[in-house]
Amino acid sequence: MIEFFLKGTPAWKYWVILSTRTQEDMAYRFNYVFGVVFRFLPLVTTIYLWYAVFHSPGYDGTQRMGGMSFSDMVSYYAIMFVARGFSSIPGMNRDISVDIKDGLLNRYLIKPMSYFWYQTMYRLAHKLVFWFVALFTFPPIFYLIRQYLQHTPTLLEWAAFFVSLMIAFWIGILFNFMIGTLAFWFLEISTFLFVIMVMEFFLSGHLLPLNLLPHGILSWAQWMPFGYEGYWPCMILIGKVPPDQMGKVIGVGLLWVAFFFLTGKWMWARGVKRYSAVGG
Amino acid sequence: MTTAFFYVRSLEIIRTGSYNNHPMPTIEVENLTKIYRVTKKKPGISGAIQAMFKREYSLVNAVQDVSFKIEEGELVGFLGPNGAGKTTTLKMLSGILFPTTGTATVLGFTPWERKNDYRKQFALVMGQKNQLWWDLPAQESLYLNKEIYGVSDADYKKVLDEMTEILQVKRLLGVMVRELSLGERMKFELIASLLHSPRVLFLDEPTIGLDVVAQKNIREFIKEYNRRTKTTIVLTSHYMNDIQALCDRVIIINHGKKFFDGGLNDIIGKFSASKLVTLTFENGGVPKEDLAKFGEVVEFEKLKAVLKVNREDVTKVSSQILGKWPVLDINIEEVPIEEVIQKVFVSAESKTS
Repeated sequence: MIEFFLKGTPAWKYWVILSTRTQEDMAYRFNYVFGVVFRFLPLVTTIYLWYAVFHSPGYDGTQRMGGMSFSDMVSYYAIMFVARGFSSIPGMNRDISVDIKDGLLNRYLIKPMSYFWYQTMYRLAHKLVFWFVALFTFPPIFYLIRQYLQHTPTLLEWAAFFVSLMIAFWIGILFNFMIGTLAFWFLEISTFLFVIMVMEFFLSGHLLPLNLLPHGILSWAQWMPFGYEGYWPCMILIGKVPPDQMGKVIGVGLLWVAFFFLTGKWMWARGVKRYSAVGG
Repeated sequence: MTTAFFYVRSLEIIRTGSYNNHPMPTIEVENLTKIYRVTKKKPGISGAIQAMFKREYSLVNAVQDVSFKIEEGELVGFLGPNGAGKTTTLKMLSGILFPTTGTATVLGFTPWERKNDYRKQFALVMGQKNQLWWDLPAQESLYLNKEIYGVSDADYKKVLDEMTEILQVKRLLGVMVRELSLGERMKFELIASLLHSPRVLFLDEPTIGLDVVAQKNIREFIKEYNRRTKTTIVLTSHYMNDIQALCDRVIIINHGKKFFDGGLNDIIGKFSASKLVTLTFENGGVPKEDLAKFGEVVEFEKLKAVLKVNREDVTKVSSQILGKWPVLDINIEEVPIEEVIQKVFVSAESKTS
């Protein structure tokens, strides 16, 4: 079916890249199953941690932190796994920087294709395999914690959630692509990449919900692109984004996608020019 | 059907060039120069600290003022020691690098504009930088290349069948690339680069790291491919055997400068002033000192001697020797080309430095 629609269009080669990479990833399917299952282990410790925080003396089940109950908190962390499953693109920025630094980029530059789309398809394939495995491993885990999933999302929230996952994926791809291209200017960026990783982990709300941060930081952090890599999808699905705010949240996310797309494109063009001028 | 037929015809016309009344060289390079800027660091830790605050650069002339023309169907060898500028030149012709100054056109395109129409018509094979996917059988990478280059199913099947047959790797198509030997990988590497039937092929050290048998296989394949398809091929190598077996024309580059451009045999004529005369004597032999009057004695045994004699004196010397001593056999040869080229490089070095 896909062949029917895409064959003969410029998109076809990228589809083949995607399917080839998917096959390669399948070679490591057991690695995936383990990865996807054991990824949830930290969830158990997180639940215990917040249990301890909430159930301190005087707890009567009505206390809130940043407007969130204990159940909200557990739901937040569970949904975070779904959101990060879309937005985290492991290894992408490092691989790009190595391609640039070690001159491996040459083999892509001589082919009639776009390196950006090549990379995107390569990563998307990885995500597809991940999600295929997750299809079997996520439901039982959500079933186990069903007592905490107390909010029933509205149709609007479901729709916004899916859009926010798409935003999460594209910010993940575009941001990491842009960071990877920094290697055109700086020889060694691995330390910097580590800093970026830690920042993403913190500012995406992966470590703790952003609304627990001091107000000054929150008002700034929630509109940063990283919030769209975790915090916003979670908040939308646990019903913490009022309907009248939804448009703004999604809109800013889409603006970030556009911003990174244009900046990345510009940096790539400048970088390749520089690479061709000084590289060897 | 008809459209396909005309399409194939017109491709044929473009390839054979019979359509073009004023044939342009396939590759035309004029005053190509590439200067790199490299960072300099003084030795030791103090040098490293200094470099953190103040970077010092020096300029390296990788390629200097190189010009040449290559016609369709030629198989030209780039010869030169490591760091001579061979690869840099190929990179400019493949559009990976911009030159500092100078121009180049390949198939009418300026390579570094990296137009898709150009990229679909050439291939660059770089020694061991592989484009094959490690964890998949080679056929998957080949298929991927087919789609990237937009090769039709029929052409793909034809080329693939042919190539795997000639290179004897048909049975390996389904084997994981990681399990192939270096030689087998190189063969697939070549096939992957030739699927789109490029009109210009750049080979950078195609036999590097291979054993003698594999080297020979690859070499024969390149020769045959050039003969059959009339693909223009530029090849770099520092193995003299590669060049000798493949190329009628050689461009020697040293320290970024073109040093020689012409037939392989002309190198000997131009740079080697002498020939080797091998003499086998009848009983008794001849004293070494007497022989030394005729030329440099390179080898001396009891009944056999090798003399290095000036090119123009060879006939004269031979007849003198034949008249003077009882000679069983005489054999006149050129000095081995490797020796000549080595000398060329050494002399070029002393000239430039």
